[in-house]
Amino acid sequence: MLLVLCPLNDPHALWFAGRARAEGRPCTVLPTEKLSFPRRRSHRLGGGESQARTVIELTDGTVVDGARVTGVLNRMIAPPADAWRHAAETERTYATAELHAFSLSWLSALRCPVRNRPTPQCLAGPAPDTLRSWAAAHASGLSCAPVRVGTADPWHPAAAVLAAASRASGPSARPVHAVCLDGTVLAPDVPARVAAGVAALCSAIGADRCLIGIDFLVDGEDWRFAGTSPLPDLRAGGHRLYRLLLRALGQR
Amino acid sequence: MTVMLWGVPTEPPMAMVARALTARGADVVVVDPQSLAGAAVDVVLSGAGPGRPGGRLAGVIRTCGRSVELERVTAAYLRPVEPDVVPGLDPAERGRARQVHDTLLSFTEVADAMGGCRLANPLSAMASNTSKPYQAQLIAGHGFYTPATLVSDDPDEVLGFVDRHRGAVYKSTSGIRSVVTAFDPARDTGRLDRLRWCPVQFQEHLDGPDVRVHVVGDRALAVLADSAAVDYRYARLQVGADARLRPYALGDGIAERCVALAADLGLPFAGVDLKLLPDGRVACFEVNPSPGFSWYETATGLPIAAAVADWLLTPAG
Repeated sequence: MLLVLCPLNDPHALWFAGRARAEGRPCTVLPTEKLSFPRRRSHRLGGGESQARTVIELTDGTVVDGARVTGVLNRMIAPPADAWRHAAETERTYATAELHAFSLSWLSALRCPVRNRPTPQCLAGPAPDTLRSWAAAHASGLSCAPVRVGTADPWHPAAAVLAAASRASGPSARPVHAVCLDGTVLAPDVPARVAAGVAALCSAIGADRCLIGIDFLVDGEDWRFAGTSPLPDLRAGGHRLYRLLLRALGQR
Repeated sequence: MTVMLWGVPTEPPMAMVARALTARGADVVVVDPQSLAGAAVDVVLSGAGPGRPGGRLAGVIRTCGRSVELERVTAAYLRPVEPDVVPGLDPAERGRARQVHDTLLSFTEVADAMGGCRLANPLSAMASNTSKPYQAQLIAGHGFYTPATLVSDDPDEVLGFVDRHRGAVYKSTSGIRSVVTAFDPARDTGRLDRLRWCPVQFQEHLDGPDVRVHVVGDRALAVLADSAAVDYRYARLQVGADARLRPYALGDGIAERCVALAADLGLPFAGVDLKLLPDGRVACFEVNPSPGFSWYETATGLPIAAAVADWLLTPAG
């Protein structure tokens, strides 16, 4: 079973699932909202067993057995905690942390191909601090505008790299969102030196077996690094991305 | 050369490390979460351009009347407190404190890679402890026994697990602190329906003495806790008497495995929680990424704060 894990309003994941189903592939979309109200969740590990075992049963009868899943497209950015939305803040905070912990362990333990495996910082995959991603991009040979972040600046640290790229780029600069799968850029017309830098960046941030988006501001020949995202625009990758992603997820 | 201490200065671990650093003549700048609203931070990364290796980290932090160039910060001991839970701040102060907190956090995330700064510990590395079963998967790769664990919202499955293991304990699945408690059928069976809303972590109950191993760089300082309590930290609450702590000499390569485990998690300073099982196996429950070591040092005399200070003052390799 191919599993697509995403929020209900994720058009990219639904695009991928729609194409897979149109080809007659068994593909289950598991909205994170439904995961908030399951019939049953069970996650077993340890005790000398080499493999964890997770079974999640939904109220519509769907059973997600980790042992039967053959590939997972994971775009779960937040833990499935909708059931606690109206709880008192302290209880909601605790339950959200617990459900994050459950989700992180479940998705990490899957033995099938997963894009992306979660990280402790982000359930959807690698999401390093923005300055750390800048440092990695710079060390990888990508063009990086000097970045400044401080308490006197109007932008949050998370927006500092994009702000720096914007300041350094001319008015004719255009944004390019490059989808990268397992270190390979799937956007058209990407210069070879940029593609090589992207591969190095993916490796540096632990995304060499991941599906991520890398943002650039392109001004003439200059592809200026503007940030990374664990939730890339899949449709921008088109049919080529669809085929490569299927293969990465272990589907023929 | 300045060491940044980010945390509540009166909190015992922070105070003990500060004293050890001062005794070694180190220049220390304290970033007190209570004073964060009045602080200012600027961070600048430069060296742009393809093919230019490295890059430069510069900037300044101004706090409590001091101004320190970030390039001078060679090490940091981090026990920050989220601004949302710092008492006594009004909403405007809380907002300013948040901005300083987030900027400092970004600084620490890049300080090791670009500034050669030694961090105990990088905050991103501490995140492995946000999920005990996730961390258990990493721990098992280092040859430690990890207890049979069930995280479930199914009362019948939980009762079956308790029955199969002839008892069980339960605790938080996340890194939020909880008291490890033995499952009491008479008290707890009737409450199991509450699991429906959020799965809870149950583990087989293991016998044997607890050992807390403080890893500092490549050193391991171990303390044995002698107590009949399920959670020796709360022994007075559970069995009416405090746990007795004493230094413990680790054997059979256990120290090396603890050091390797902490290094694998990216934690130069860690508290590894072990249990010595009667059959000779060594179980590991979790790795605490921000160990509150003061209790162990005070009770045993082990020089944990000194080891942390020495590590912070060692030039980055």
